[in-house]
Amino acid sequence: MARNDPTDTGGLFVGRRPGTAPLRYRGTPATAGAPRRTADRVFAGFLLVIETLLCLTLFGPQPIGWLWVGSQVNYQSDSVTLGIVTAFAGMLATLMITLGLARRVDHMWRLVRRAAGYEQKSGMLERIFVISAGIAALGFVFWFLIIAGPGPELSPRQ
Amino acid sequence: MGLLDYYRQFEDIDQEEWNQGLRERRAREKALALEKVPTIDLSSSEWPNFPNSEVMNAAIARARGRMNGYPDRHAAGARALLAERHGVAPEQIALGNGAAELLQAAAFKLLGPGDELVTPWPSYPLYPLMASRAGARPVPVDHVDVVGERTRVVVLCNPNDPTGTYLPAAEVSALAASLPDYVHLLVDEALIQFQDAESEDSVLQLVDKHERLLVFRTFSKIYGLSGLRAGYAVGNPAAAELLDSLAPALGVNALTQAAVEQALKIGDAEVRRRRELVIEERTRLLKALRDLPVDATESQANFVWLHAPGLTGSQLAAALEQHGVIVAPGGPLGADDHVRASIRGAGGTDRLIDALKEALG
Repeated sequence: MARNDPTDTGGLFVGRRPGTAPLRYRGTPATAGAPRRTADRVFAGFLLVIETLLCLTLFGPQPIGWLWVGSQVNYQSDSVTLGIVTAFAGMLATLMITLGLARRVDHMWRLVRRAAGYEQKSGMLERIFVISAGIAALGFVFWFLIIAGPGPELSPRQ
Repeated sequence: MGLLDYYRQFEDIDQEEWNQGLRERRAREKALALEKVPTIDLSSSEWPNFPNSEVMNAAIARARGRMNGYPDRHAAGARALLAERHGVAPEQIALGNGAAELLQAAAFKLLGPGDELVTPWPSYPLYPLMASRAGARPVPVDHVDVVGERTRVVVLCNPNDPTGTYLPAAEVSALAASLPDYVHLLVDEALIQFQDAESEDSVLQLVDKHERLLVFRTFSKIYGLSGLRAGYAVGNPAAAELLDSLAPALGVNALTQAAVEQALKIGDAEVRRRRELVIEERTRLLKALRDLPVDATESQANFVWLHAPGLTGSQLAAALEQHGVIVAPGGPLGADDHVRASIRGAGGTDRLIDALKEALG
C-alpha cells in the first residue's frame, strides 16, 4: 500500500477516519427525475450567488450606508460621538442579520445540492465570507493607496 | 409534497443525535446480554484463569532468544530451585513434560508384562491406562493393603482425584513401610497445594526415609501452566538413577524451563492467593452442601465429589447443566453415581449451590 494512501491511517483510528462519516437522513429521500435535478443544480447556483452578494454587502454597501446614517445623526444632533456610535452599532446589527440570513441561504443551498444528487456535507459560507473579505480588502487597499489616499503623492497630478 | 418539504427530506441527522441513538441501542444490547446467564464450566480441574503474565513473559523472552540450540537437558536451573525449595539434592529431582509423562515413564521402567499396578479406586483414570501401556495389569482396589506377588507399583493420588480425599503423611509412611521391597510407591501430588490438613511437603519429605517412594508434582494445576506441560518427580538419593531415567532424554523444552524457573522465583504469592481462595470457597461449599440432599466427601482438592441419592452421576450432571452449571459425570472417573464439580471463585460456588437447590429441589 502506498504511503500516501489517504485510507492508510497508520493505525491511528480504530473506526472511521474523522470527517468521513456518510450523510444520514431520517428516511430515504424521494428523489426526483433528471429534469428536476438539473433544475435543482441551477437553483443551487442561484442560491450561491445570493449568498455571495449577501457577503459582499458586508464589505461595501452596508458600511457606506451606515456611515451615511451616522453622518446624518451627527448633523441632526450635532454630536460626533452619537454619529459614530450609531454607525458602528448599525454596522454590527446588520452584520449579524446578514450572517444569519446567509447561514439560512447556505443551509438551503446544501439541501438543494443534495436534491440535485450531490453528497453535500458542508456549506460554502465560510469560504465565501473569507474570499469576499479578501476581495474587499484588496479593493480597499487599491482605493486607499491609489485613488483616495497617498495616490496623488505617489503619482502627483501635474 | 410541497416544495420546502421536498428539500427538507434531505436534512441530515446531527452526529451527536446519531451517536445518541447508537448509545441507546448498545445499552439495550448490553441489558439483553446481561439478562442471559452464561453456562459455567466446573468440569475440569485445571486452574481456570490465565497463568501469571510474568511467568509467560519469561517463556516468551526465552522463545525470542537462542531457540536454534537444544535446551539444557538436565534443566539445572529449575532443578536447583526445586531442590532448594524442598530441601533435597538436585539429583533427587527429575523434571518432565508434566507429572503424567513422568508417571508413565515410571510405569514403563518399573512394570513388565504380567506385573500389577495397584491403585485405590476411583482415582485418576491415567493410572490404569499407564499400566496397560506398559503391558501390565491395573488392579483397582478399595484399600491399598491388597498387594500381590506380581504387584510392582502402587499409585496413590493425594489428594485423590476425583474424590478429593487426603491421606496424611503418617499413613503414607506406614503404607510405604508395609510394602514389599519389590514394590514402588508413586504418590501423585498434583493437587497438594489445595490441601490444608498438614504442611505441603509432609509426604514429600518421606522420600528421605523410603527408598522406593517417588512423589510427583505438577505445574498444571495451581500454577495454571497446563499448556506448557511441566511436572517433576522427587525421590530418595538412592533412586537418583531411576529418576534420571524418568526425565525426557533430551530434556524439557527451553520455554517450559524458563516458565518453571520464573514461577518458582516469583509465583509463590499468587499460588498462596489461589490456595486461600480455594480453601475458603471449599469450606463454604461443603458447609452449604450439608443442607442439601447430596453426599459430599470432605475434599482437600479444588473440587468436590458429589452424590445425589436416587440419581446417577449423568442424571445429576444433566440436571445441573439445565441450570447453567457443567460438572464432570463420575462414570469416566470411576463412579457412575457421582459427579465432580470444581471450585472456582465465589461466583462459581454460588452458581453451583443455586443449581443444586434448583435441580434437587
